[in-house]
Amino acid sequence: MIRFLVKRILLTVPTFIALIFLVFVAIRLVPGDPVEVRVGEHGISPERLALLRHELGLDQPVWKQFLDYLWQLGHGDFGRSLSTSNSVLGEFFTLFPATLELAAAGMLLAVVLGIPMGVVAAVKRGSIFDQGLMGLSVAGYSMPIFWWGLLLIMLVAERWGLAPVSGRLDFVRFDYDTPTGFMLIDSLLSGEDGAFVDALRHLMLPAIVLGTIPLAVIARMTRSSMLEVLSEDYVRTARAKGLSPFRVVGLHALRNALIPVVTVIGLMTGTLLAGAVLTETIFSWPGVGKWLIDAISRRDYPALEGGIILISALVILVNLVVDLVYGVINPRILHGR
Amino acid sequence: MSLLDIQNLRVRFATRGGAFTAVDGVDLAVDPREIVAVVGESGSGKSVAMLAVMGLLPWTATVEADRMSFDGIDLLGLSAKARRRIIGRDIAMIFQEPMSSLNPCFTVGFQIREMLKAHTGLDRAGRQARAIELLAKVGIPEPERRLKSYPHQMSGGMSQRVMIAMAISCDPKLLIADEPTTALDVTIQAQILDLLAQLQRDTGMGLVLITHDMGVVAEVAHRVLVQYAGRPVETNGAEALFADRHHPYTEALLAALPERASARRLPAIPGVVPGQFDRPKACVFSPRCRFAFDLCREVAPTPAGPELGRALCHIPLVDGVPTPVRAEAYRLRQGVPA
Repeated sequence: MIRFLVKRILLTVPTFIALIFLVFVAIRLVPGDPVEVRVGEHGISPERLALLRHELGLDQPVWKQFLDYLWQLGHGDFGRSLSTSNSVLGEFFTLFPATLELAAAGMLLAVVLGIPMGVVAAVKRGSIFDQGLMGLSVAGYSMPIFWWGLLLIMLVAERWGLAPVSGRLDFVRFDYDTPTGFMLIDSLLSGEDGAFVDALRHLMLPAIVLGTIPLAVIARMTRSSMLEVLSEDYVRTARAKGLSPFRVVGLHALRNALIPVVTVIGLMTGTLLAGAVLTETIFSWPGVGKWLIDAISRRDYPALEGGIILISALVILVNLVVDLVYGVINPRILHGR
Repeated sequence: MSLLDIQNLRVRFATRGGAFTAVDGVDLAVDPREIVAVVGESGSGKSVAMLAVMGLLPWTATVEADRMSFDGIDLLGLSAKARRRIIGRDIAMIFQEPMSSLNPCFTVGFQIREMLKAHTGLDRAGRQARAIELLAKVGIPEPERRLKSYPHQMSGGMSQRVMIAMAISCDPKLLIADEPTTALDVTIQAQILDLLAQLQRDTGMGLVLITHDMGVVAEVAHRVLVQYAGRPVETNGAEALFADRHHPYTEALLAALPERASARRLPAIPGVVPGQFDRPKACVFSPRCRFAFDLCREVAPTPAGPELGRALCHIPLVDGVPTPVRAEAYRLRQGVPA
């Protein structure tokens, strides 16, 4: 177990170096550098341009810049944002809880609804419920996120007034410290009346929008995996033991059927963390997705590089956790190693 | 009174190509302490008949019978819930593929204790003790340690022993073994068979042994039901059956035993068991029967008397010679016009 962990972590080191290199080169291939973007259309004297570039180290050859950056990273220094002069690490972790909260809520919704829906569809295959659900899941999967988000804002928020349009909290009504950055937790800690409900209401629509695609994928995946497992010999054995259908399906079959579903959940959690760019933009959700998009348009090299590296680290971490969860669900995987 | 009493069992499957009758008019009675072998090639509906008793057929199956009772309880009219109380406790079943019949996600111990939890009032410690006792009973060394094993850590023979331990955990009155040795190595086959026979002797349970191996039948069975294409073609005591076979199919099955081969080529029954669309109208075995004549292809035979093993044949064999028992068959056979 420990050996497996150490091996997995060591294997991520080359992945990281390759990743940093890719990000580093790709951003420099985009026309325009931070100085040019900041100068904009006003123009600048060539001497001043050269001076600014020298200050930022942009006059060095790219390989030198890369090595310098690696050296800097090696000391745990992600640098400062060129646009705000704040430390990249600080900015990232100020915004990250918002993204994490949204991703967790969306994923929770998708898992809690998707797995039971898939199981019921598989058990009642061919029924109206099954056909309806699979039709809906195609719709959910292929629906453009921005359209779905706007539709919900128009109907649920505007017409019915059931949820706020944007943001994480009604800052006109509430004002309190946010020590954890997770609005749901902070609102509870604040002790302010109604703050938690308000935070929850703000989270509702973005979570639904973000969770829609994972929900569709998880429901389909669970259904097909379950259909396969239900015809396995060991499910017949479980029935032959005289166990209740609930136990046969919910324990003996589901435990096996979950293995591919967990993979999908892991992969999707990764993409959700990488910033639900569209969802965050539609709902003005102050998370890292929106921050990264801004960093690209400002050619904010340190923010972009740092942000992508941090997110990648998180995605790799999630995948590691998924691998460990496999082992818990299916002992064959751990013993096989 | 018979432990298991089945009369005129019919199982139909709804398929895309229409209804398919997998079991057609099977009678089977199993007494306590009796080993009954159900014999036939793949596709003759042996497993389906027994799965019907267990209530384990998929929803596409329709089960009908004049009578299907176990220990005086009518299985046909039983609710699913009431049947689940009997299944596993009083009637247990083991299957052909032991490796895939155990759930890969749970330890052997969990799967045995689960059965005990479902059907007995034993507490946690009692279940653990009983599980150890059961593994020892089926000849698994270091039972306490083995309980913590997962199915993939065990061999096929070991897995089948675990399946047997699980099946006998609640002291069933009837055990149905569906080709329990087919997937195993030849050396292990004999061990598993001996184990089943010994457990049957010790506990006095009834045992239905589904097999296509006449050698297995000869070794353990008290009584034999030969099934072909869903129909019972011959039934008799094991001794009587091995002394003289009355249905050509039974004769052919026995002749196909490799041990009996004298020529260079192994003997085989030509052709295959007919499927859904190529069932002959009259005698289902006629296309493969070396004694078949006009009548066999035109009129369905009726079972002969018990002295001829209820052979479903116009001309049951006596000492290997076709013997027309009905006048009509006799005349046709002899070419004498009616």
